Amino acid sequence: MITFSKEATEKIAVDSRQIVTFNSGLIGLPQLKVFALIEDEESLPIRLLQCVSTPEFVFIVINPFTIYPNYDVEISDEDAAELGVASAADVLVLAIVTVPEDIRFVTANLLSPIVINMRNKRAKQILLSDTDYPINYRVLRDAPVERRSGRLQVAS
Amino acid sequence: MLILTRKVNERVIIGSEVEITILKVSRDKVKLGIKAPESVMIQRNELLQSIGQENRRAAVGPLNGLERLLPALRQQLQGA
Repeated sequence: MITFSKEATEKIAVDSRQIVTFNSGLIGLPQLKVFALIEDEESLPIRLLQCVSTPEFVFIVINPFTIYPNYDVEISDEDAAELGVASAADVLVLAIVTVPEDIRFVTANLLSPIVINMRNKRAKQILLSDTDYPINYRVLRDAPVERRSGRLQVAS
Repeated sequence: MLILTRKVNERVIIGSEVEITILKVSRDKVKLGIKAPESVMIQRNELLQSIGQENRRAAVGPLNGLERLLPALRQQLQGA
């Protein structure tokens, strides 16, 4: 059972809390570099990323392969080098989840996933090229359609 | 900010490896050709802005409410 406390994150019942470092922060939030990756077996495929320096920044992240059939992530040589990735087996890929007021319209950012090298805990929010994955992929496909602005396409 | 005036087919060199060519100018549009090593990230600014905006929307703030949200989210996912 996940028991998230309102006050102190220390009270979160978790199986694991690992520190991961984003050298260049998140896109648009470059000041957020060091995060605790919080997971609980019960909560998988959902995990939390909580900023260590600014704990009020908490992101819900999800294993994108569980929500999008045939999701394909190609890590560029440059990103792989930056993260010191030698093998795909070392990599954890996570999509940032946006939860609106109405939880049925929860979306995940499939265009710029977070990639973590679990060997050295270096992380980066990468931008997939040559794909048209949306930044606001509707996670619950059978929920009623919400009107919202158009999907974003990768620059090509 | 450095401001340069260039004509069509003229170039600007940034560093030793990035070359920008003004290919075409028409009304309010400029077509640029960019030559750069693969390691140089080139993106339309709006795309990065959109992702940044989505990141800020995604930040759930203090753990306030998460104890309700996460089980509900899990339940929804399992039901999907």
